[in-house]
Amino acid sequence: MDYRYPPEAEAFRQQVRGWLEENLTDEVKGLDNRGDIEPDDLLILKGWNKKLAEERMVAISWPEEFGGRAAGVMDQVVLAEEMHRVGAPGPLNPIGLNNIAPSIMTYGTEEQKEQYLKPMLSGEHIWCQGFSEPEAGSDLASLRTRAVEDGDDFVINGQKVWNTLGHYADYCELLVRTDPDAPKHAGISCLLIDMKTPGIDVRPLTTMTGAKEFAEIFFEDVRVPKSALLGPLNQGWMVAMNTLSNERAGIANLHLGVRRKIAGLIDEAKSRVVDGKPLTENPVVRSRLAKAYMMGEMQKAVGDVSIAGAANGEPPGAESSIVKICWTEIEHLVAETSAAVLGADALTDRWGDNRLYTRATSIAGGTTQVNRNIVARRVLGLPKG
Amino acid sequence: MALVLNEEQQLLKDSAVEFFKEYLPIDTIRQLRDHPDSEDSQNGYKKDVWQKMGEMGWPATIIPEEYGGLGFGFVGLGVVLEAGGRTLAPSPLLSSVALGASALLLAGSEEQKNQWLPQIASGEAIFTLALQEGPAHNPRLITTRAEIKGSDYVINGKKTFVSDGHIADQLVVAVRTDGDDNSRKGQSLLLVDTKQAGVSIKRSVMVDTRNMAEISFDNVTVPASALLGEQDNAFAVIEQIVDRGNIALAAEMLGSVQEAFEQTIEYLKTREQFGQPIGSFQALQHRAAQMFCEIEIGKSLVMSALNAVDAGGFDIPYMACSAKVHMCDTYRLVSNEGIQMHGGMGVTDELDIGLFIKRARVVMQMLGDENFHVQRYASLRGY
Repeated sequence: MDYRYPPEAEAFRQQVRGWLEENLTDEVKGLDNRGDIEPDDLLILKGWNKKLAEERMVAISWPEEFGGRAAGVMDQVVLAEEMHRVGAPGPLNPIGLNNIAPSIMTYGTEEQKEQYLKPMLSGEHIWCQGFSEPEAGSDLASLRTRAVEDGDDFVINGQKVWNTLGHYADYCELLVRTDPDAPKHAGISCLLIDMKTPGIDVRPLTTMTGAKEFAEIFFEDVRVPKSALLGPLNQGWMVAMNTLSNERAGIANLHLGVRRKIAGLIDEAKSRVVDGKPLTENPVVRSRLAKAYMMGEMQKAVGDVSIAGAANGEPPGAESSIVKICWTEIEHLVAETSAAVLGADALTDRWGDNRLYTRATSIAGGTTQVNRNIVARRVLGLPKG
Repeated sequence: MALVLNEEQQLLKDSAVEFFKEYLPIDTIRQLRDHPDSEDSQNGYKKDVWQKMGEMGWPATIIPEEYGGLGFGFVGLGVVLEAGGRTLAPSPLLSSVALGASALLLAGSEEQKNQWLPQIASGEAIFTLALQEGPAHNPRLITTRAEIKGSDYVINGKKTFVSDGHIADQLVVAVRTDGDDNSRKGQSLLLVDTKQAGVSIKRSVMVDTRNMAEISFDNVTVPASALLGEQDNAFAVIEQIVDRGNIALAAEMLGSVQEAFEQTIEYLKTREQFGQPIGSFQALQHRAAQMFCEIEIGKSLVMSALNAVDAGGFDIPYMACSAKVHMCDTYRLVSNEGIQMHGGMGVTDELDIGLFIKRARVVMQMLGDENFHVQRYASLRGY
């Protein structure tokens, strides 16, 4: 389907391909930059991240002054495709780069931009988000972690949870309540804090797959300077919404991963013989695989049209919520289809993990139900109950 | 980046939406249904409006300029069909252009193209494809035989579910010239005039008030020049015609689905129960949000599929399958939920929503249902 790409993007593709051929080593290839990273792998990934940063291939959409290429959406897609094709891990800081950095660029002071963006890009500093709390999940605005002004400082007390990469993080974009008397959306501020500050206790959480993918973070009389404030005081909700909307900007490429899983499953089904016939000839398995494959392609079509719209200067529509809702359904379908194809082999290793892990896709980054609320109220204009 | 409508295509779309609202509003279907003896009802479409559509250039969309067309491509045809889908506009546009003109463009000789394409483009001649033989779409099964006698073909057999078959001037008939009933090899396409001796046409009115014909061929003799494309090797071309038909159909379905959905959302906002609009209930909001997602995916798929035809890429059959399957699923969902959310009113004839479910059931069946296309997709992907 490459016929859609403009020649400049194709030239960039050749450049990326050539660079990856020369620089991607076996040690790096196939390493996962997300989830539970082994300490040894973390070092390798940091080295790889640094190399990518030197080549300005980490966050190519960023302005050149911060180490990007001011690249358009087509080049971003091309880079993602090429990295994906050869199994090159992405940079270490997906949350920092995709979500937090754009908010720093929008709301940060010159000092904050200077201090944080480059080390984030190079992988030297890993960032996490401190948003959700035990009592503030989908209802994020009810968060209770307090920050009280004390002279030139804020003093923070409270608890955060579901902090992806929290146990590796050097810095955190933290949402705190600074005005407990204001309506809940109006009393929140956003802070950028050093995770080595005394009083911070990080405990990794073990998921049901056994991975230590995220952490919970406890704050006890944590003192940070007022210069940690990102954006205006008590307007942290606006900063948070900006951050979350950036989160959804990365979704146009979600189909890449899921389509690779489906293709892998079809190969497995072809090679497994039951009753003298490959499993792909079992009508039920065949239908489910074809349906899953098509859904992957549909996801791509949504991404393609959304990219074309962006390239045409159209403002983003509801595609982020749509893609998020539908992508999780495909992930679930593929996970369940893997059992039909692999039998007991889908209860172990990679596919076993995938079956469990994908249950998190409809929860993380906004549950399916919250996304449906967003579509119903903001897009369709249905009244609040 | 052709995945966004350009200015010209956007204008075409806007004028089509206005045209169908004015000339073929959704009540047209009720008129045709309730006055079965009227000329329009007998025809299953309004001749005067079809003539106007010809003047607007819509049958000319996919036909290149050298054959009297406009060269707007499938994206152009798609936006018109989508607009027509909103009012369930009855017209032979899909049969004559997406199927008929495609057959000529894909397989016709220069002479055939020169003879017929200008007439299709102006709307003077109505074409359709006579392919199916049983209750379900199965392009491999062709039992209608054409014997070669001297330099003629003599056709015997029967075709079913020929859309607009009772009003067509010319049929593109899939016949067997060799091989077993189920073989891909040995299929050919012949152009047959519907007024030809031995052609008998039985109109059947479907649940959507549109017409499908059952057509019998009893020793119908046509000359060698009636052959479209290569003798015995038509299977691949038939698949390509059907792909284009399904992509066009998916565009029509997309328009209908959007209209049915919008009417339903409007009802959710205005209908009150328990002292509040029923659209404030989360049980209904989430289902509405889900439908919206499916429709948005449908828009992207249809756009990608129409573009694929115009780009002539290898991916046309994949896109045809995906678009058809997704629009079948979505039309079923939206028409069912549309009825359910309208409650008792939904099953009355007073509201339009019931008209959509009827059309949905017909188009979901036409040119292969989703099960057919899921299986075909697996085959296309090499398993």
